Amino acid sequence: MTAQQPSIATNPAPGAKRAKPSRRPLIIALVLLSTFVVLLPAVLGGYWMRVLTVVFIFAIMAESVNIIAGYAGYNALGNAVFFGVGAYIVGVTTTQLNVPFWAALLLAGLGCVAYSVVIGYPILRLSGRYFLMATLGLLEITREVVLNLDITGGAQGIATPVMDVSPEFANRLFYYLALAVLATVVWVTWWIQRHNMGLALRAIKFDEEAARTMGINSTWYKTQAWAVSAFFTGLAGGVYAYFLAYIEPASVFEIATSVRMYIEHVFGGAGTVFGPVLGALILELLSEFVWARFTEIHYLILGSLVILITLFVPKGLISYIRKIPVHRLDAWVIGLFRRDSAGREESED
Amino acid sequence: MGGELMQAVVNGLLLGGFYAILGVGFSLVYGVMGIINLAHASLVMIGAYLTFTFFSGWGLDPFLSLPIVAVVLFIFCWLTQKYILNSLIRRGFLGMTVVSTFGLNLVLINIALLIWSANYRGVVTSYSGVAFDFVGVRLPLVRIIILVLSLVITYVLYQFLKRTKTGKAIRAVALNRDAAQLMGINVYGIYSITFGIGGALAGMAGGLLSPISSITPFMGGPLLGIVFSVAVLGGLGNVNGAVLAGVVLGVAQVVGVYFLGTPWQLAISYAIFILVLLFRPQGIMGVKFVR
Repeated sequence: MTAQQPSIATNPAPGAKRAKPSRRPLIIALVLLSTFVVLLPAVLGGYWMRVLTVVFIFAIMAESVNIIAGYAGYNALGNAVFFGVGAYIVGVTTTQLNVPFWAALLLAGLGCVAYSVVIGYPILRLSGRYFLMATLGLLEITREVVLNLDITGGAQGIATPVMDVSPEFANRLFYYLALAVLATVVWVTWWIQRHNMGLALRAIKFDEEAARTMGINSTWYKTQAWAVSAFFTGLAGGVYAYFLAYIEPASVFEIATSVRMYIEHVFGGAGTVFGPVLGALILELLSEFVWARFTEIHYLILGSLVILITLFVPKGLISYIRKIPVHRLDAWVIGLFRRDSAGREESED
Repeated sequence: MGGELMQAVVNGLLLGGFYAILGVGFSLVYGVMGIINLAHASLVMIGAYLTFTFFSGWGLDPFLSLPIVAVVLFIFCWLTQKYILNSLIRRGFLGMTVVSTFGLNLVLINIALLIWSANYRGVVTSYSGVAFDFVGVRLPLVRIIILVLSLVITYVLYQFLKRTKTGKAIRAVALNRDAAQLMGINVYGIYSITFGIGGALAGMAGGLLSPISSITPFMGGPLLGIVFSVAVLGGLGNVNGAVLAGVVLGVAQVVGVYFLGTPWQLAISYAIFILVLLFRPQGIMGVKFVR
């Protein structure tokens, strides 16, 4: 862990120093973007709706990993375990117990919270390196157990009930559902960042021993952070199970899924509110493109991309976007609107 | 009944020696640099494929091709560390190396798919079926050779780390990187050599595995759990610990399968892994590195 500290120390604590210039561009961009995303289904075909739903699901997971890894510095590389558990809770409860989808989804989230707390309370005491391996182990052992249980249907998997609605309606439903969960997790992350919890998590990432000396109950905060992370990853898994209508252990407990969401949060910007969403958006769309065009060498291209990203963008995209002189851009935009009032003094505002 | 259990224990012991060499390279890399090499199991896969190629192309005995495989993978991993991973560590992004190695893992799998296709391959030698009978316990010759070679390789590694100048430098860097640098050790050079050795060990493990297992591009996945378990159980970077951990794991797995059934084999190794992490994160030997 000690060797890892310098990298954390040199990263500017995101949000610690709020950009003094106006935050208006960010708000304008957000309003425009959300309007765009909400209205998008009106023009999109079924294929792209489904692609975007998957992108949103990955964005939810990347943001969830961000809470425990980006903020608290505990690299939960095996976080897909909650994706699988969430998917299986929805799968089992809807098929075996006839629980309605909405209730099953909530159960998936809560079940993952319970799982993360039971497992997390002991393993979050481990130092970061061991925690990382422990989460990978957890992912693998959970898959093996699910594979061998009767209630989960073993390697055959589960076909979740198909909703009695038109395909167009179903596409829209899952699109907006994933979008709503995504918006919620982004809002929660933003909330965490601005409150004591975010401060405590960043203190833990920076120097856990010092944080504990200052009276921060680090295990409590880490457990909380992982529980939040597990909740949203579980929801993502639940939505995915119903969306895809079929799940199997090998595909939902996949280590590749796990590492993918981790890479996306790093690529966008670990420890930032919007970075992971941006990272997931870009990488998932890129992956979709590569998969469609170069099926044979899909892994080769993605693997090389991953290596190149870590080499050239190790701090995340957001750190580059932050360098854009937003305040000048802001002044320019305002200037455009005030063309007509040219000649008046700026100080009038 | 008793005889079958006895056979299971013996199988576990034979397997354990191999597990040691499977995990020790990963353990060394992790112990010295803190790099979690997710591509380790795929390097094993590449080692197995190279052995298969030498065997089917030139008729070279799988055990004789070990040195060639080791050299090839040493060079490959040395270059990887020198040009990719070291550049990340230099800039303070040690945490990113795990992501890089995952990328490397994907690349290796795809390369194997392109060169050798997804078909199952195997190495069947003239002495593959030979086995000895010892008080009712079957001892296949191939598995005995694998065990002996595994132990020899780990012993050579131990002596290398203990006695040679490079080995001592590796241990010094593992114990205290800054102090080692002040003593004039080229830390990044040592890193490259360490990763190279890790790769060579993975390759030799692959070579040893080739006569007893089918070879596919995706064979690395299930091996990774064993690699983790051996590394954590033995203590990171601890060569003796890895041997003991391999044997413990091998016996536990085979005996566990005897009582619970084959499907639980992987679950058992992961369960051991997590239990050790929870209760004894410093490993069974209690020492982090070769002293």
